[in-house]
Amino acid sequence: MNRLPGLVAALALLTAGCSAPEEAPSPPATSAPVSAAPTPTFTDVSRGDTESVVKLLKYDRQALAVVVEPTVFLDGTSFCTAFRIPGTDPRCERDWVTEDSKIKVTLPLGTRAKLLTVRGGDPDGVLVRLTTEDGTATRIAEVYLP
Amino acid sequence: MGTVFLAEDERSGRLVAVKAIRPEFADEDEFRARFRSEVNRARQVPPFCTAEVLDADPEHTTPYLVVEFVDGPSLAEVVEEQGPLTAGNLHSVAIGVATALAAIHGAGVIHRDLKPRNVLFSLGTPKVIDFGIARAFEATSQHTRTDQMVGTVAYMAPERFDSDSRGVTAAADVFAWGAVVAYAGTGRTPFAADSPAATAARILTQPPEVSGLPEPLRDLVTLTLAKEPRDRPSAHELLEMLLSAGPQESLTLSQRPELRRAAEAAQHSGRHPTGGRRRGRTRTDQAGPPRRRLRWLPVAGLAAFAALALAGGGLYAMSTADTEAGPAAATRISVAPPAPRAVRGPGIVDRLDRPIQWTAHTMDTGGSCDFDREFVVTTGESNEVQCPGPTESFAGDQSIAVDVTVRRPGSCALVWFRFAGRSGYRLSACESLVRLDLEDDGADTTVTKVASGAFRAGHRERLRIDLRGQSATVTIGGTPALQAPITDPRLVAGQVLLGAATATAEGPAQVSFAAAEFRSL
Repeated sequence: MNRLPGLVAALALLTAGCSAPEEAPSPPATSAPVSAAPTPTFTDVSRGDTESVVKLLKYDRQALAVVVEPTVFLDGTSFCTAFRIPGTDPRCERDWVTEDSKIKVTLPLGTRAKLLTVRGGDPDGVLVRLTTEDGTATRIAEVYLP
Repeated sequence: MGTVFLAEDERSGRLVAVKAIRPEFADEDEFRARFRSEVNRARQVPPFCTAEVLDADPEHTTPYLVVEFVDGPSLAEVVEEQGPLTAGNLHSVAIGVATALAAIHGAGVIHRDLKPRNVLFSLGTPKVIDFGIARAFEATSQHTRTDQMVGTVAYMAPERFDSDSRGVTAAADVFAWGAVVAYAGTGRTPFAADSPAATAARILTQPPEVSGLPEPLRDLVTLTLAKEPRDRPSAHELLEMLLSAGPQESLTLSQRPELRRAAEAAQHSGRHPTGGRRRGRTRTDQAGPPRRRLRWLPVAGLAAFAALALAGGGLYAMSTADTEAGPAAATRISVAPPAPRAVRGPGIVDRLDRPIQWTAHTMDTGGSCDFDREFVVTTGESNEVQCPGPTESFAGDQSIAVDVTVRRPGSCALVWFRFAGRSGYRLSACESLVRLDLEDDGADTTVTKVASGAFRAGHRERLRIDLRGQSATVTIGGTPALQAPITDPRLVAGQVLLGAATATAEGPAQVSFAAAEFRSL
């Protein structure tokens, strides 16, 4: 596995609210939501050009393939607003909250794709910011969550 | 599993129940070994709201088990005849069954088949029977797994529908406790549906229906019915929460001193780490966000429990690493929010042009599953090949879509669904027909078939199977091809698998698959 550890500063230091529902958790015009409900939607990373936070489930440099799980990644306030959760809910106070899609999507990995990890360890199961071009993963950066 | 005899101990005159195992199991060495192991552990379970295991002989020609005879009706019979239990009796059952689970788990045993028929009333006090036996059956053959599923699906935890449920932990018993108490208090199971398949789907994807239960018991039941095993409390934690709960629980315990004694004794019995819970790994530690702050609430008194009940929605017991070490670990729980909505079913999307979710595989018979821009399946000496792939178990409504190419004349592409163990539905897409079969442990029954030339050799076609309710609809290239019932009550959930078969005897078959999309609907 070819990794570029230690690039903490260069990583997507995602602040909460990077994908508030009104701003759409990303899908550009070329992609469609994987699931119709609820709002906000999960990004369909298998088509078009996208940028979103996903869970990296498998990374196989040799096979040039990754398996990711689209997620909704929001700050607590936005999460509660999006899902109409009462403000007294503890999640509303969190820095960030995820909602998993449970969909495992295989993507081809671009030959020049970069994997940027925080600590250089096994990235499987971590949240990453994924960039795709025409359904191919071109950039994967572990989300730094101090 | 066998025959139950009422017998009398000649020495004491005590009535006992002798459970003789069916002869077909007696010939299986693996069963005997497992039965021996489980019975030995079951005999260590203290008789706190459990039917005591008195004797057993796993080596006998007909292996048998002798347990305390409980002269009383089952919970199922009581509810069927008299309706849901009222407050006092309901809490008695809740505490009694939790006491039994604490005792059973404390001895390192998992019940695996807790249901209302396994809760008997002895002079008004509930006693749990048949613990530690189901595992012996599950470990051997497929003989009873499907039988058991028919009868107990409403009480089965989501993880038990996985293709390999042998990793099931004590948390599955805690889930069953929630379902049993919900049934006792409302007369219906919390995921009740029209069929076992629909029930399984609700268990896997929907929140429980527990609206008829009184507070704060309702919140506790909701907590134990969490989809994730690690989100459920252990039996000991559950019992402690019940013992320190609201006025009704206190009243129940004051009126039933024998129940209080048993509960307190079980509370202090062994605490084997049999649970698959999130010890040292909380929900949020694993995959979710870090909590900004934890709100710990002592559960030592009524006020604390009332606070939990008022917190609204589901409660999730949360352990953290720093609470593991001391006895205080089980005396504090924190409040986490309810799920925003129904739990989603799984989905799989794969172009099938490279290995990762599916892998290349060569069989001893010469058959293979390999990648050549598509997923190519070739039969060897055997007539049929089934390729390993994702192990996700789907239940309920589902769509299966994949591009199919019959590469060699006389070949059929195979798609199995709701496949578990050695049984499931199998769709064959052949050159001249499309056929749906029910495959049951090697025995095939054709459900329906239609003539179709859509899958002529060398032609790539989109195959889609929609499973809705008890009906499967197959479309080819967007055109409906057949519709068939899928009503076998045993096939409620399972994997989707790909493979190939020979339709004629003209050499190995070869088909290929591409662009797979399996989705829960």
